[in-house]
Amino acid sequence: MPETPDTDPTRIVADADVLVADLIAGGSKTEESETGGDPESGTAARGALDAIRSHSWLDLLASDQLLDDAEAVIAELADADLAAAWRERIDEERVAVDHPAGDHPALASAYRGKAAHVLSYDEGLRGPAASASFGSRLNLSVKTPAGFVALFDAESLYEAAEDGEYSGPDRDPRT
Amino acid sequence: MNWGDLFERAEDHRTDVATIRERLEARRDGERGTADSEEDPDDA
Repeated sequence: MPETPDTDPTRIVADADVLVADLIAGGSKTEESETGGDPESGTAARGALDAIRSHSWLDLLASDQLLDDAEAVIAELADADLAAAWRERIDEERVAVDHPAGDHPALASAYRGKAAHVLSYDEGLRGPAASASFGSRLNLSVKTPAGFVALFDAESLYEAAEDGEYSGPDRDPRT
Repeated sequence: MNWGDLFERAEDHRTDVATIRERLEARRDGERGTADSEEDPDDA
């Protein structure tokens, strides 16, 4: 394993908790006003995923294992029909990556897909111990969805990673 | 199905991040437990 693999800032992994929160914990105006910008609120997950869905040049990476986890949680907390419909849609959207069984699905998806960002609510992936353990070795930034949204600058990212001038979002995040 | 329709269908099942984390951790812990027991010949 190389010590510091090259990563691509336009490649992003959302852990299963963020994917599920985007669907069933995000987006409510009522919750937004009640939580007052709480970084653990699901509204931030919807905002982070909307930022990715709105830009065709950003890639959402996910392994089958990662999507299996999210689909199972959706089926448990909502219902199997919604989980299946979500899986069909996310399968069209994601860039698939493979990794060995037993690896952490989000970290392994990022490593195998050379993603620069992982979005997760898991404190175990974001704390100082985690950074010391894999942060510099994987050249990877793990953030909450709220942290990602706060720092996301599409224009700067586009100009650094793509040719030409940024002209704004190029996709409807609800299609 | 587009994202807008999915979010509309999901409205009836709204929950919070803590509950999602709890269920995800239970699933991943369960999978690790299963893998550990499968690898342990004493469990056979």
